[in-house]
Amino acid sequence: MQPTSSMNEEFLKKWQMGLQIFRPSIDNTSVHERKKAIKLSADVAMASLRKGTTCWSRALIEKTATEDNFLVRQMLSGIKAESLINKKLPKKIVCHRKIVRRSKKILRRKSKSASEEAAAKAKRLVKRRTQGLRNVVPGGELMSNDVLLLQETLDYIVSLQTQVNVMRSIVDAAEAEIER
Amino acid sequence: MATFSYFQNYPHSLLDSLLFPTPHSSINLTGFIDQNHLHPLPNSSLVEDISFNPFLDEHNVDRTENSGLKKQANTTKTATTGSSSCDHGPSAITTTGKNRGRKARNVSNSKEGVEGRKSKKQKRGSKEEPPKDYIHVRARRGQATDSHSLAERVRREKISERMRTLQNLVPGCDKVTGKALMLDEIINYVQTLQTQVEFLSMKLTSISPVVYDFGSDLDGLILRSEMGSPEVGTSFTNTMPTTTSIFPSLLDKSIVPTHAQVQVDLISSHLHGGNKIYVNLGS
Repeated sequence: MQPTSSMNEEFLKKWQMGLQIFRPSIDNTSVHERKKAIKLSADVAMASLRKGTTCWSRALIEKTATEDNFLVRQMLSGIKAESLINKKLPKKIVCHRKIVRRSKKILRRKSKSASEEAAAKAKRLVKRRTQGLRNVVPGGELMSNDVLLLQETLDYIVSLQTQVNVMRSIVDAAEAEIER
Repeated sequence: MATFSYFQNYPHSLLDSLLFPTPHSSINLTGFIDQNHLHPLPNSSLVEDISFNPFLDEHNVDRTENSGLKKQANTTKTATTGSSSCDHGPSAITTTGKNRGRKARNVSNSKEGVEGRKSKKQKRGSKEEPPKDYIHVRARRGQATDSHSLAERVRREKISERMRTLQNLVPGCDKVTGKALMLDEIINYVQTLQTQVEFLSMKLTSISPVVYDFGSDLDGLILRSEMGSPEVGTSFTNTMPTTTSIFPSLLDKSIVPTHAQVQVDLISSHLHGGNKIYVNLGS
């Protein structure tokens, strides 16, 4: 599934709406503030495209709400804002590393055959990678099973692609404009 | 002749039908003897086959898979593929049956999970599958039938299916095989995209001196970048109503959206206006 032009347009509209919120407050002159404004509004716009159906969008909105609650509330028109912000996300999966390591050591002593070890090693690699993926995708730690994680990654990648495409086209147009 | 060859391909089916008596198998027995009964049979088993079609590749590759049934949320995919493939004649079944080499599917009779969570598809002549609550998974010959392995298999199939779609999405992942490497690529790609977003947002702030005016520039810029310049004028009319509503303060003058030149003037004026504000604040 590739990002469609309609998705681009929707994202752009929402992003503009978010940027409008900063219009009255002109005292944000620092570069960081402005950059934060742009990025956060883009993130929320991207997440709101999914309208709360996916886990990553909810987690992303939650994350930006901690940084700029006002913006999030303004951007998500009324109804959704409350439900999305106050929504209780599933518990984070916490692993106590020491305990896990000790149990793994004990397990390792038992299986000795070569093919089993290879399979176990492959499994370990895959597990490490999935953990890495959980760290990258917003809300990844909250997803309990791998199938859901992969599905969310898919959706997240498509949304990121739209975001990057739109931003890049604007930058290019602005640069071409300045060159005139 | 047909019956004889049929019997030869699946000699074990008779025994199986005897060992695992099901209403399905009783009809199978007659099917062997009487050629006329062959036709209804392939239809029913065709649907069973087709239910596996989405996962066909993994079945042939992964030997260690076990079989069974599991109660799950229905994916309408199996339903749609089943209904679409039902339309193919029964002639398709023998060829597909033979093609599945080592995984010789017992067309007429397959082992079913002993657990009570299964249900058979009664497909005689019906073209459409009624949507059900759970996926019907048939066990294959030579595979374990306890529910755990069944659940495992379905889960694994789902994961590999998702991985395949991800493979199409992430550029440069066609040659990579195996879960670990694929996941590596995916993680890298997501991180790249995220850093790109950061970089582009930084660039945007540096390009437009005041970001808030830049919001109004967005419309003009986007239109110019997306469409060719001769079309700019017409497309501008479409977005004009929204922009005027959002940026009433800026767009005082009425715009004649027929010439690209007018638009360029507008944008440049905004930019200059932005610069002016910036200078005032700085001083």
